[in-house]
Amino acid sequence: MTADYLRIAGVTKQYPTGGGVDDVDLTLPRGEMLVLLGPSGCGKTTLLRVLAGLLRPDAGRVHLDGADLTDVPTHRRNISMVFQTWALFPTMSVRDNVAFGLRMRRVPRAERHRRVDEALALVGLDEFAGRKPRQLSGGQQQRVALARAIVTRPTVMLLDEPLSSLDHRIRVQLRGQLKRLQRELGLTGVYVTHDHTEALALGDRIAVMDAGRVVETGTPIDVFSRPRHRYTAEFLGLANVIPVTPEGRECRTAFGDVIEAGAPAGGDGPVVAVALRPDAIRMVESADAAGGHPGVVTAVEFQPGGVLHEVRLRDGTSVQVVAVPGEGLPVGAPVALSFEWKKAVPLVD
Amino acid sequence: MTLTAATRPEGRAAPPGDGSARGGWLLSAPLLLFTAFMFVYPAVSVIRTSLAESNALDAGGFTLRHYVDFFSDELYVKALTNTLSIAVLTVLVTGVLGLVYAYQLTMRPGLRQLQLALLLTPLLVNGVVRIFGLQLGLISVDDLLGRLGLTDSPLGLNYSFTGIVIALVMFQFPFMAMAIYASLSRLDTSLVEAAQTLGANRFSVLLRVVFPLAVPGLVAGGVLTFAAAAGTFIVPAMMGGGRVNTVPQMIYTSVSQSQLWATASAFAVILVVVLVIPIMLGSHFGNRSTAGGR
Amino acid sequence: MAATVDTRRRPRRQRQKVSVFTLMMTILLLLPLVVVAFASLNPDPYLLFPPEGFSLRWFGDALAYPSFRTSLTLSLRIALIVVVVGLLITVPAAVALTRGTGRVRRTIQLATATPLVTPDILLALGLLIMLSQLALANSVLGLVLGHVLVGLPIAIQVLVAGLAGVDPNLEHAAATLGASKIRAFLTVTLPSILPAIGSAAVFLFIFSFDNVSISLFLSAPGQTTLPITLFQYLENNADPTVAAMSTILVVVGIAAALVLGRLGGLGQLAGGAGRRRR
Repeated sequence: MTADYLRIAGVTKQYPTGGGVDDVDLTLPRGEMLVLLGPSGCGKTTLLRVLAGLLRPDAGRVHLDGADLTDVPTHRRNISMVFQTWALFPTMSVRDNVAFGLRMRRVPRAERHRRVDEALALVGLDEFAGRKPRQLSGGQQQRVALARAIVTRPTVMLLDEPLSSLDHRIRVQLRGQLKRLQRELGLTGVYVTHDHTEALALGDRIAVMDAGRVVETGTPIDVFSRPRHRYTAEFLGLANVIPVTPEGRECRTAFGDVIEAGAPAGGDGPVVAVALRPDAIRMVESADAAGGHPGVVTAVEFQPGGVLHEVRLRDGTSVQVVAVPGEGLPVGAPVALSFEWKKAVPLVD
Repeated sequence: MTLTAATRPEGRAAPPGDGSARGGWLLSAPLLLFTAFMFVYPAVSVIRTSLAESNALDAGGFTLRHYVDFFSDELYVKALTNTLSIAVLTVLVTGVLGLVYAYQLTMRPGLRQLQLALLLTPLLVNGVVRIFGLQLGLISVDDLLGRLGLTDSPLGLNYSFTGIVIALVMFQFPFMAMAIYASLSRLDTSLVEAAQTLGANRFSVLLRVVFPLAVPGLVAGGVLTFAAAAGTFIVPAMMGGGRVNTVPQMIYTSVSQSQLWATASAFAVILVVVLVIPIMLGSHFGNRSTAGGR
Repeated sequence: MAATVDTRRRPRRQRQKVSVFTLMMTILLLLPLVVVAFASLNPDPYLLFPPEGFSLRWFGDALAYPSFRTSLTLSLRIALIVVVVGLLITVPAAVALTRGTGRVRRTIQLATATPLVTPDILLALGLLIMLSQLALANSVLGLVLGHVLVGLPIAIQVLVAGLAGVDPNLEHAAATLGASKIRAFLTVTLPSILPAIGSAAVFLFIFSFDNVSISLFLSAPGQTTLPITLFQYLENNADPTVAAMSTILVVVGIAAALVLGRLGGLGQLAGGAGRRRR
């Protein structure tokens, strides 16, 4: 079943000091990139290492391309891994680094050379083949690590926050290159990160994790514009998360508005909050609170897309409102807010 | 000695030894077996032999006679006091010199690498050779002192109690200096300057800021120096000229010349027991002061 | 740890000032070595410092002198065996110490720390008693084992320091690329720690070559190691010949220091190793 090219079933790995993962189920079709997204300590790296075979799970199985790999030692799984610290072998040249996996698989010399050259060309490092890792920049080392990981044609490629120690500009560049390579070569991959822009750019499927569990999975569009869980919305920080109390088929906010929001598809429980993007709130400068809920501007931040205002309503709720550049209001200005509840996304716990 | 996994923002790297506990024991087996055989077993043999009935090598039995003999013989007790006073003096002298050295090196780090390298180099040269060189040097010093009329003894420093201490200081100084220097590495001119702005004069600064920082190193260095100075044979043998008797020397002569195994073993045990007390005291105080420090 | 003295705010000429006291102390400690070297150059067969002339004949004599010669050969032989045996024991143990579980680590640390804090004399005596009872007392084997024991702590320390600098992910990366644990270690980690292994080897060699206390007790009367031979010689006479032999040993020591300087192990001598057996 192509949908289950990679299947993680009930994997649990606990540490005596805390952390780890608890009963994780995930599937991934062939040729797609799964991104494990979450903050430090949520268990994403643990999960990745279980996939790599560097950790043995307390419970659960890992299946790849139909085979149960749970008991197979790392060096016999046909996977490859790119590490955050790149883990290039310092005493070997770039070429030898990339060739390492092929040597371990006893690929004959001529073919080995050919494939290494191919891989280096793909990442644009052919001229650096003879250098040692310490002579390369961070971005270049990362590309070597990538070349080393793809040259063996692995069943699945695992990446552990490989871009987090690089400059922003290089990061964006490499991100694009990585995505292109993955698509062109049809590689299946699992990518771990805490950066949601990376997740959005790289993932065909995203799994949001918290404290050892998968909170929700979906395509980037699903997760980013229609999250189903409060945690997801809060972690991504792209929209206001406004707590509500359900009242029959409707929900009431703390400051009195009533929203007609059905439960999100899947019905995992009552709606506890709604997500509303900053551009779905109208803000008018108003001293007498006519035309909306009264509030005060408490912070202003200029951003490329507009001016972001933080407004505090009378009942204490704080929301973010974005205004067109040029229409910003100063801190302390009294305003009235009206909400386009139609655009609100219901969230469960 | 810790595992230095690359720092990751994620909680932790894979804990070391996951699944390889057995491998760890296997790898360390040669070392552990070796130590058990070459250290534990001999240590036990010494204790057993010291309690043996007779002075023959394989004698059995259980008696405390040899220990009693030790304390009832004036010569032996004198040797013990010699040994201890040599050790204490050595610790004091190296402590003071090491303190000044470490402080100076911290405050004026010019040519630091070179100086440290030069400081440690003699440690790689044979001890007998170093003492020989010291003796040659001291002959000239004695000569000088004699001509200046400061001493009338023809043998001078070379075959004396003082000579022994000098040689031991020479041997132990690098270790003491490095131990204190390591402690003082936490010193920062800003600490000194802060104290000065608060009204401390130079002496106060030394006493209240610098010295407390140096204490852990002093204690650690002191403990090791004490043990080394008390347990050395070659230094009193060469520098004492037969006029100063120490416990290690007695151990050697009772074994090599007289084959008195039990007696020698008793001496050794007594020495260890006497050493253990200051060592434990020192470690205890050392821990206390590092706990209070930074 | 480098001293974190903030020298930026000092006037330029005061920066990096050299302490006279420290220089003097360092030189003072080196003087005995210099004295011995110079004493070996005196043309006449008695010791004079400063020497009255310049002659290298004593070096030839020293190397030709039968007991020096045999002792030198013996010491070298033993030292080389000690290096091999020592490395075979310490390299795996250092790996276990760096990668092993807590209990393994603590046991190894205990095993290396206790011989270190024990006075020479107890160790030597104990070894002598044990080996005598096993009829191994005056053998080369006994000496080798004893020398390995005194060299272990610092060899382990150097190796652990070297291993600590190796990213553990390297072996993981090698595993993902298809290398079994052993292959990963041999192809990836071992080349990275060659300098540390070199330093450990030098330490094992020099601690064996220079050793006095263990050799004193465990050498057979006619078959003493070089330091003991020198000691016995010096008990009766002192002449340029022995000075020459001593100078050769000084040179060996300095050579070892230079090699360690290049390999990066010199600092380990006093940082934690604490005490050396003479």
